Amino acid sequence: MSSAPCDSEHDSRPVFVRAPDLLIREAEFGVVLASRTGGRPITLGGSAQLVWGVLDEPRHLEDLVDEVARRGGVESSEIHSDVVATVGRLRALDVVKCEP
Amino acid sequence: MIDRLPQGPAWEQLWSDAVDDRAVALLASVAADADVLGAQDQFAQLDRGHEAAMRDCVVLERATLEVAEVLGQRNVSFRILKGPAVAHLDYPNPAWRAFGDVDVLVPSADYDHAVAGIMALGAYRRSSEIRPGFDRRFGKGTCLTLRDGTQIDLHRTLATGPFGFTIDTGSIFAERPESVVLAGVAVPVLSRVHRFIHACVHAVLGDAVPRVVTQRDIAQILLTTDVDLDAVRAVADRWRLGAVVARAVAGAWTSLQLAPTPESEAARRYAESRFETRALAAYTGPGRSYARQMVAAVPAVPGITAKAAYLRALVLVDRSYAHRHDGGYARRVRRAWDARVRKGDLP
Repeated sequence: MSSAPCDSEHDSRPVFVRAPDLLIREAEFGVVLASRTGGRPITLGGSAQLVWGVLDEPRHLEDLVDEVARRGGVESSEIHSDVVATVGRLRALDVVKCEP
Repeated sequence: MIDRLPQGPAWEQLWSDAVDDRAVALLASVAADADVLGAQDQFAQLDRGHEAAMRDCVVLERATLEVAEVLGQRNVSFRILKGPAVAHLDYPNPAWRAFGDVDVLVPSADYDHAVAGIMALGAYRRSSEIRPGFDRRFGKGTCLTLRDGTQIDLHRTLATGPFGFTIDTGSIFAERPESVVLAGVAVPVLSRVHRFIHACVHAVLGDAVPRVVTQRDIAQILLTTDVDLDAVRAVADRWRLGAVVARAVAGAWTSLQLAPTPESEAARRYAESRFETRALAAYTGPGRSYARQMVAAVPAVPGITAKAAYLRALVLVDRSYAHRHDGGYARRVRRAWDARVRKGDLP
């Protein structure tokens, strides 16, 4: 099983949350996000949109994977590595934060 | 409602109209209904257009926050108007309502301070004042453009012409504002009653042909929110906007082909006062012009001293303004004369 994509060394169960400083629009095309501090807006679709949607509340990684699996109608073990990778990409984009 | 997207030239026309009217987001939201039928490339076109519109909107909301911050730093009271306020507070999803600029209302006393604050963000004025100090005392406001092209419409009041003087913006700032939360920051906006009245003002006194989006705002607030209609009537009465609200509601119901409601029927039956009909003539029909609205405002300017100052400013405009807008003083005086004759003040 992959490790949580979080820098925290102090808590083995970090919580993932949406970044608080985002301007957001969500519709059929996906999710548009822009930081209030600058930069071009980005659009999330596919698995990134799904993970973003599940992060409507703070979640531990395992909880996040289980909820994505439940909404997708698949087993958690089948998608765990994909969700971890997606969360990593969202963190790299600064639209998801990891809180110890 | 539509159950099938039109095909061929009818679709091209609908798309073109939606783009021109800044209504792609609305069209896409309607088409997102699972029961609406259409071709895959039509839905793809709608998604692309909707996404582009929403990318613009979040950038405009970022500019809204910059403006809010700089005005707050200068202790300037303000209310964000239209776009972000209506999108977040009156629609079920802000993605239904696109907008193209940032509109902000400030008190007359803080107007110059607000202009200076926004210019400190790197904005420039798109046009000069008729005379120094005219905007702060008599104008509707000014348009400022940020370096990235974002347009900030800074308002001192909600309309040009006579109705700009009957609208008591002081009462707006006297009441507790509603707020919209953008990226975690609460930004003050007009109350729902004032948002509705402003939508009516914009529909009837703004563009020569009202945008579908503005008419949708009127219907959206009337049909889907708990807007206090008694308060709307009271404010419209105080601000002499009864006919404006009536024409806006009746126009929206006709344009959007909505089923009659008690409010739309009352709007159709509204009996206009002489002042309302004469004032509205400057905004509607073939004689509509900015110059005519400015001249028509003379009777509405409160007080003899202010009226004299207003007239003096209209005639003795700043020389650079006269040359840029009228081709010189002589042409300006001729246009003002023509406007008064068309208005019916002169034989």
